[in-house]
Amino acid sequence: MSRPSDGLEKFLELPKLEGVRQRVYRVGLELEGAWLKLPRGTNVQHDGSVRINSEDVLACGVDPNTLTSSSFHPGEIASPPLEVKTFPTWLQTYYPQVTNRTCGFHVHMSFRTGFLYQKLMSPSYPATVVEYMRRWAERERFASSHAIWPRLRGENEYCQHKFFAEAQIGVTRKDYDRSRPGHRYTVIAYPYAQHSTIECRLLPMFGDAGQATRAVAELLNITNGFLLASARREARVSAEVKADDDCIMEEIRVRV
Amino acid sequence: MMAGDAEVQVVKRGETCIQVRLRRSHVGLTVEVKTHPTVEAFVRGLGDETVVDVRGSGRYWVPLETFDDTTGKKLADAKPLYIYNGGSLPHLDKGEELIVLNRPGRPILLNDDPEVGGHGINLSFLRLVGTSEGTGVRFGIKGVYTIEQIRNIAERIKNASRQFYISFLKPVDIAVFVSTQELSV
Repeated sequence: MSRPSDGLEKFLELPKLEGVRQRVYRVGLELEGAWLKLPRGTNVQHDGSVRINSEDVLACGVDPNTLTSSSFHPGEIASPPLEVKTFPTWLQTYYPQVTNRTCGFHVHMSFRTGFLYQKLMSPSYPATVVEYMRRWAERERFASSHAIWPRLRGENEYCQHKFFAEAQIGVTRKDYDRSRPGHRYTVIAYPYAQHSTIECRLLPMFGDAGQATRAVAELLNITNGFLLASARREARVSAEVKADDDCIMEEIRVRV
Repeated sequence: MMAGDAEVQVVKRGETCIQVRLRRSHVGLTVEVKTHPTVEAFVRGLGDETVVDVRGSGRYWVPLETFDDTTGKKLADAKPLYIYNGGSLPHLDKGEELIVLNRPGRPILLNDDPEVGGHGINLSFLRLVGTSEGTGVRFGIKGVYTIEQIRNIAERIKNASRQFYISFLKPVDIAVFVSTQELSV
């Protein structure tokens, strides 16, 4: 992948960022895991990549005498588009009680203008996200066995450190091939035709909603900081055709 | 020579025939088209000389407001985009690039257009009314692009525009010599 942008630190200090206009318009969250108790009216969608078994459930303190196959609901719950200030509350309400290393945490971001979306269609953006989330993970002091580290190192096939923006923006339906060029399993994916969003697939599910909230907040800060750091008017690209010769001259000779 | 023209216009050597400028913007892509009067006259003459709003052909092209480059002050509201109607504009298939002139209002890259065969560059903006007047026509095309895509599109537009000029506008002087030959019995 490309080099990350340098010097984002000044844009990532929260007190300063609070005075800066948030360039992310809406946030969409996809939670994977298993729910012992579902918020009313919520349905868990099937997700083949989520593999949770009874041992994972028992590790959460469930009484083994009461455990049955219907005790937990594995899969995925997706949020509607959320205002940035409301996503912490949504996470607190819908976060699953059971997670493991197979569970990913996908964050979609939308923007008010196509220009901001396009500014993020650069290989340096995913590289910047990886670098600054790595620094965040170090500050959070995750154990060396935590699922976030292989993802940050590019060892997880569901969030590969590749850049396929041009191929991804026109895709109108999901496919599950993780090896073909242009697939969607990249750290940052660009499903523009489907959702008009940019999707971060880097994060795993965390131990609790609070830590997940900090991760999303950091991702939004990094994105906002990247846009601020790269804010400049873009030059026009020109295509020009001049007339070169006055005339095409041809001779046709016919013998009869 | 344009039949019916009182004055023949020819693009002289060194004159700009077609100029297109691209820039990423809030709508996606901002396109500025400026052509020689010969080009606009040619396109106008192919149809029935009426004009139609481009929105009837596709939803990707959007009119843009005009701003002063120095002060940023708005100079004019967005005006509808009109194209010259009708006429038979053949697709030009020059080698690997299909040059399309019959897709106004559609994306600049026609990768997903089945009628075009899956690849092609859309030069239908040459049919816009007013490309030869003043600074030409400025409009937006919805979509998102990388910087590399923009450069690639500009190169393809340049090559396609050159083919358009050679195929339709460049004067051709053909001399035909008919001679007899002696018949041997």
